[in-house]
Amino acid sequence: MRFLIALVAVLVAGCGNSTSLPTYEQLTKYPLSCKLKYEQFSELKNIQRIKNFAQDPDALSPEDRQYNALLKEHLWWFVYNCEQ
Amino acid sequence: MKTFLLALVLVSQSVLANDCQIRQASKVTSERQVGNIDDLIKIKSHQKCQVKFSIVIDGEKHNVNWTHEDYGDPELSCRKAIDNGMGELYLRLGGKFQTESMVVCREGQPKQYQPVKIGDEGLENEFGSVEKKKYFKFKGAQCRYFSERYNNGQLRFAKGIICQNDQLWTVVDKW
Repeated sequence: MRFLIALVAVLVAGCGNSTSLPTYEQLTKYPLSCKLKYEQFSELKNIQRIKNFAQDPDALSPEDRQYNALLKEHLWWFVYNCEQ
Repeated sequence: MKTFLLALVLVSQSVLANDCQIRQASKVTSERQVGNIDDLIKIKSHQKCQVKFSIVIDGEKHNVNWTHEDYGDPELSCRKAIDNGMGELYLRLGGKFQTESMVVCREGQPKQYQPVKIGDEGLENEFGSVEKKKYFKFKGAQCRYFSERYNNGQLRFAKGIICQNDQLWTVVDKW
């Protein structure tokens, strides 16, 4: 019985964070497109929300800093490149 | 008797104002006939020196008694006591004064550069530019990329976005 409860708890916790996050390498190959800006922007924002990096880049580890930078570069890419 | 051009720094003070030090120095410059120092007595004690001497200026004998306290060599304190005693005497006798002020900024301990943070404001040219020089609109404001290099123990290169807010530009993002 205890095992079942523990299993259900693990499954529930896992479902709450079901988005599979891209690795840094995968993120470098993200196919940015103005045509898909709303979907892609939303997806990247979701990754950012889950990662929940500190606002100060100096507070991040080198890997997180790199990932955070690329994520933000991508997000601003839409503002910079896609006309409203 | 010889004619001396007396140039003596009498007052020197340092006032710390923000990152700047204001240094002032007053000089007495006058042409007087000054004799040699006579009857010099030095009384040295721990970290200070008292001097007593006489000197003839313009044919008149003056007695000087001055003590200088310092944390250095007692002999150096004696020299400073003589200089300061003479300075005080010249002041009493009067003369022409020259005062100079000098403002020295950012002297002493160098302040560590503070990297910009989201929310910081400044003039546009205070933020480094990047290869992307085009301005773009974000939420109705004119924005551009900026870059920053600094060393906070590690060499850093950061980029970010600034947007215009009246005369100032605000950091809206940084990575």
